[in-house]
Amino acid sequence: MSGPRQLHLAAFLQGVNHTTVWADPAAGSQVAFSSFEHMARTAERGTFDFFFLAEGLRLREQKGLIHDLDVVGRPESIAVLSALAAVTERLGLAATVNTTFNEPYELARRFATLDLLSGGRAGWNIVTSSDAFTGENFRRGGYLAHDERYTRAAEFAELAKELWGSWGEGAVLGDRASGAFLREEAVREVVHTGPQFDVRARATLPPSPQGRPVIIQAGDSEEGRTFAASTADVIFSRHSTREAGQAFVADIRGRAVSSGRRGDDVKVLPAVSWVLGDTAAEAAERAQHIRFQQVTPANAIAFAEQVWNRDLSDLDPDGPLPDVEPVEGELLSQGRAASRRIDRAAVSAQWRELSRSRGLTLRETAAEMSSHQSFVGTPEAVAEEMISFLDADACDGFVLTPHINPGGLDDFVDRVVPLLRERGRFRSEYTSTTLRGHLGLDGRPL
Amino acid sequence: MSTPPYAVGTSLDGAGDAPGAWRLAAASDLTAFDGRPARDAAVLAESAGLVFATLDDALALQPDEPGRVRGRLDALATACWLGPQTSRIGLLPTVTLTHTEPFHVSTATATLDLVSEGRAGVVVDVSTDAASAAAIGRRAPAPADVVWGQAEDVVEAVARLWDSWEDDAEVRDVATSRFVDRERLHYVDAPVRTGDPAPDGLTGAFTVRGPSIVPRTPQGRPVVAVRLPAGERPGSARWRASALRADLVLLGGSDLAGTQDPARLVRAGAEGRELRVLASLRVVLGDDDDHARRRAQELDALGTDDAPVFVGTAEALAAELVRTSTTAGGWLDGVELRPAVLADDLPRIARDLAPRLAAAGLLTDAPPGSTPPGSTLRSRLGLPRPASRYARAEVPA
Repeated sequence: MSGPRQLHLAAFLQGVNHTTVWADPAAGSQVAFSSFEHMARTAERGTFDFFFLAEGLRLREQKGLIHDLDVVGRPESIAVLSALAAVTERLGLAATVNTTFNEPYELARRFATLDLLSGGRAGWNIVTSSDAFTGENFRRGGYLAHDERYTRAAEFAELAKELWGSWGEGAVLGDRASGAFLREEAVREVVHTGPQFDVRARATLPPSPQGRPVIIQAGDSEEGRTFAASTADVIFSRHSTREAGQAFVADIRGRAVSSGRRGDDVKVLPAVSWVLGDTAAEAAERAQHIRFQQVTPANAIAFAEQVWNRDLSDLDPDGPLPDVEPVEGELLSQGRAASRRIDRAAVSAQWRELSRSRGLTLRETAAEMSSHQSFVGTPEAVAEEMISFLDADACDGFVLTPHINPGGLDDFVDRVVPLLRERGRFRSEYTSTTLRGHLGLDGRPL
Repeated sequence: MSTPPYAVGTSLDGAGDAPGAWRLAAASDLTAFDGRPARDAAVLAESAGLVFATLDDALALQPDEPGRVRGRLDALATACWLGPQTSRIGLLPTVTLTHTEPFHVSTATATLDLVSEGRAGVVVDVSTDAASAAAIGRRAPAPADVVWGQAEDVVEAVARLWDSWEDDAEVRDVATSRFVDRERLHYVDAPVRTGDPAPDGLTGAFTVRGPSIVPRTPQGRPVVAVRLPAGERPGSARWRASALRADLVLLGGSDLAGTQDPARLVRAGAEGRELRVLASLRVVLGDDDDHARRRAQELDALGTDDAPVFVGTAEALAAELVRTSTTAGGWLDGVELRPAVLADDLPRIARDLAPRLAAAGLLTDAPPGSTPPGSTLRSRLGLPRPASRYARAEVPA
């Protein structure tokens, strides 16, 4: 394709987080189908590549109690996306699903169904877990060693791909005269024996118009990056600043090439948020307001507890930071991946430095530390900055995470998307019917 | 107790219930696997005033038998896809419980209730076949009594998860910053037998901790249905699951008369619990008896099985349904009509049968479309919306 590089855009509905402001008058239901329909239709009106859901398998807990400050409660992703397939025509539909608490045959079949019902628009964000806390909802419990997560994920993904491609071309005859529905020899039995899975199966479905669901991955550890660069079509990245994005993109492209792929076979899309205003000052003011909506006094204490890993309920959110040191050991907060890998000494030092240098209270510090807002400004400024990220090879596009459900995507689609289109950096209409096609990925893998 | 409303439903599977249906020139094209044949049938059934539609399923690919359709979409996902494309008809996909995590069954079926705005049901089933077990690869196949025993535990676990959020758990209390009241969220700690020793050494039982991730849905609990084939021994694990766990029992039988004794027994086995007992019957309809018989012969030539079949006119079928209905002093709360050929028998049901049933008071959505918006599958079956088992009783003032 000639012309300047084009952005890829996705909308992400996380479902459980502190950044979704539920107390705002514009906030609607987190579970009603109408909310999902609104956001998906908005994304489709904006000719987004895909709409994307996070996963929930256990309600988060803090200090042994269910965490009650944030939005929580959501539908099961593949089920709700199957319904959205009926009310959208072109939008890609991606679900985050864990490989630890599912079985490949079953999940491959559910995704194949979504992919066929949507005419080739499904995506699967592969995540891994070895969390015994989450495992309490499942038959295997917390059986998986931490370092086996990617072994299992890789074997799982490989098996899913084999199943999706196991009906060869011309497998479906549907010959009414002879009664032969399938060409038996074109349906391959998948036989797999590995450390994680021992499977012998015939798939129940043919490949979709895009071959198989698009694979998305978000792992950031050494193993995660290697897995993503060798397996994924899209990487959902947390490196949302220009410099971090550039380093990440370079690293991923290098790993992709090392695993025998082309660098641009993998699209890197960082998660970003945005705040618009008619002027820069108005946008900054709105951004500040949103941060304080996101970090209520109670949430400020909860964040500090997650960093310090100790009970800080006696603290005044409008007072100074804790004067005690963080503690290691059993986690106060359960069900958050971030709480496990945090470097408490370093992060608490960052909090202290920020509070000291700018004279911030605990709540103000928490708001600064926990609510990164990527693009704040006028629609023109946001559009230009997004394009500059693309041109600096800091990403291939963005996964937008609105802070209001279901209307949080509206202003971006109404005010920024037209500017990206005017500048020739984003499609004005869909030119493909499949998610794979929207992403500009070659071929139809079988 | 007053007589519950009569419930007429249809199956949506494939090109129809007859194994050779897909081979007829008039049959829907199944080769695209895009859901459209089921969608068209569901829309027609809804417009005819039917109360529910079922979607068959199994984990494994159908065996290689001459003349049979092979391959199918996941029924639960298909039902979710049908949700926004319909507005009154109940949607009951088959879900096999043997290999799937109870937590996933619970959240996905609750989501069907959300996307259909209260029209979800689930026909629970098990897998005893070697192909399903090998496809999952976690356990050896087990006999029916074992897997139905386990299914009973799974249904209980799933229902506890449906109840684990009380209706008013989401409080959005700005004053205290609380989105939910955690006192109204509940651990379910539901034990589920695994059935038998598994290859990876896991044996005995496991526990589902909860709460669910899905808040309580419009119906509180989606409708649970169990198929009870003709000749199932009373007291078997499957029979117990029907009597003790189902809201809806779908009785197989050689004909409608043959369902009388099983209906009586399963009602007695329900121990006073409210349930609806329906017959499930393949129908081949014709303009007259001769025509119906010719159609049945034509279908038999394309493939046979041992399913019970009604062959005759809509008029005769209507008379049979009225005679056996509880409304007329009979024993059936409704019927799942399984059109032998969806493209032929479902239009006949809509055109020739439904008006006759409406005239006899057996079609609640009469005239079609008169069902009030927001009616749930439960309300159309006359089943109450259950309170969460965890909801605290109101303290008397």
